[in-house]
Amino acid sequence: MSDHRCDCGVVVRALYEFVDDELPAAEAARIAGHLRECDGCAGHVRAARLFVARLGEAPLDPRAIDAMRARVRAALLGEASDGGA
Amino acid sequence: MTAPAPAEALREFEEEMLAHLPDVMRYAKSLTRDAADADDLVQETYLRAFRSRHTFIAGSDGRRWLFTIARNLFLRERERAGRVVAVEDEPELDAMATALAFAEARQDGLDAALAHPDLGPAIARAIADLPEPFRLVVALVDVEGLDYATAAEQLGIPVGTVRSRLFRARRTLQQALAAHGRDLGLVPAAAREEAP
Repeated sequence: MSDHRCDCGVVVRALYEFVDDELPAAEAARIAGHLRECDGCAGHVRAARLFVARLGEAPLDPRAIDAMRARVRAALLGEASDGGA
Repeated sequence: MTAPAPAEALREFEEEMLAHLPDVMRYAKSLTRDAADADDLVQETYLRAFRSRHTFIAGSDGRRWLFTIARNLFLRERERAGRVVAVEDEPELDAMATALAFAEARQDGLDAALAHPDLGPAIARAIADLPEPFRLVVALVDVEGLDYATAAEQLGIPVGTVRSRLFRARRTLQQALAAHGRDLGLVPAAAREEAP
């Protein structure tokens, strides 16, 4: 078990690379082992995952989506009529 | 195989690809910053996709395909316009500074802001306010979901630079969202006073 241990400093320094799945497998496994034993670091990783996930999901105004759909469909219709299809 | 009639081809294309429109709009906005430029990019992406629809492999990921087209269009136009901004990168310092800042931002309002359902506009604003070299890395890694190496290849910069820009950008975004949490009164005054 001891080779799966690491300290909180390692987790904090490698936080984003761990969350982004960018660490070598052995290092990621060591951190995962530490997270099972350290509630503080586990909470830190959960917060980082939530933060990163929310960056990619900014909501859009439904009216803006409808307007864009109409604009794209009109452009595609023009393209298809011009022989693009 | 007989090619479908034009109307049929258009109907099939729209049925499959317009389902991804909100995602493409979100991605275009994160790339361009400007709302009108983002709308133009979305339209051009769909036109290019329709013209090259024969290159799309049926059953593969349409969203990923549209993102690739949007990204290529955007990066080509950026290069053509000579809009490449120089920036100083400090990988080691950035990794440490971001790590320390994350814990601070959590205490200072980030956790409360992240739990708030109406965070979306604040996120969009914070991303738009990032200088372009940082915004593009956030767009490619956090919005599109590319890994560091692929993002580096697409942007023509080293992987270490992607890493340092991403960490610096996220640090700025953390601070912006924590400030948003405080503005909404989501953080108890005591927690604010204790923050350094």
